[in-house]
Amino acid sequence: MTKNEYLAELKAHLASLSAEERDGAIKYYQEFFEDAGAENEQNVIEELGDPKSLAEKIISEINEGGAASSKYVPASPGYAGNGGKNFEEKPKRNENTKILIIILLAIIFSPLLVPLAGVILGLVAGLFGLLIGFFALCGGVVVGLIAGGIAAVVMGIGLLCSGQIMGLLAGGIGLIMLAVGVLLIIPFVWLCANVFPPLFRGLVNLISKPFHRKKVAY
Amino acid sequence: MSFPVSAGLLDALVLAIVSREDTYGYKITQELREAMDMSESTLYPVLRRLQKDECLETYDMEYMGRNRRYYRVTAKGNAQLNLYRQEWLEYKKKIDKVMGMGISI
Repeated sequence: MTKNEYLAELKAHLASLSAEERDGAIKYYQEFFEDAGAENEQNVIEELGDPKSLAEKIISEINEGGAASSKYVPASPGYAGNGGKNFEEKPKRNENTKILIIILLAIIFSPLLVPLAGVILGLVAGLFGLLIGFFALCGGVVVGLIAGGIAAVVMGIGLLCSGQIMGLLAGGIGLIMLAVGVLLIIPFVWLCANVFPPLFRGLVNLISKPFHRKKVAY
Repeated sequence: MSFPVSAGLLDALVLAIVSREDTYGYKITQELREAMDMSESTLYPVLRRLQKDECLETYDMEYMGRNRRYYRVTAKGNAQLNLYRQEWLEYKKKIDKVMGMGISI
């Protein structure tokens, strides 16, 4: 069988379709042959199977009206596919009762919900505050030690210049503070890089989780 | 391949292939075959369905003195593809977990 014979036979078996559907299918397979190249003609014919069963396959697809469409269709609001009806019906009823129960519960517990929401909001804000506070504390310790150390050294030099021996003590303490402050920069930077971002991300994830769930569920 | 491919997965793969570059039936078939054992007669109904669902649209372009029908993903098709990708990630995670493929948090 040649390509042209194959296509002619396919066309004959597609007689029950509308002219538009039939031409679309024939055009597709004609192009398919051309793109595969003349040297692959026999392979394509073999691969496609006999024209009659290919025609049946095409016709059954068209008559089903895309019943094999994806089951994800209902999940997207803007998507008005006509498929997936078979297995959509039962879960929908369950969904409806679920929604009804949720609404009833919401009405019954509404006096509780507002304060509860307040508590949760407060908790979340508190957690954020805690995190920021901790961050500020660590930063404050480092900056304070370095600034205090410099100040103490300057003061010590001043005291020494005016002939007071206490200046040595002040200067010594200042140097120690400065050293500890500079040393603490290393763990502080490490905290900034390794601990705060994951903590912050974790917190944000925790907050966004209930909203996210709703979106994915179907 | 021992795992059958569902219609939804096939839709997702076709959308993904066409979204990378407008392309034509034969080429889509070849690309799909890199991932799965698939008959050459499988694709046409899928393309037709995606077109009908307004996820794909076509245009004809001349190639070596003949017409070639190219497929292009619509905005709706893109939205659907994103949905499929999300679903796939969830699905993959669950299967991986049961299969014991690495740790997932």
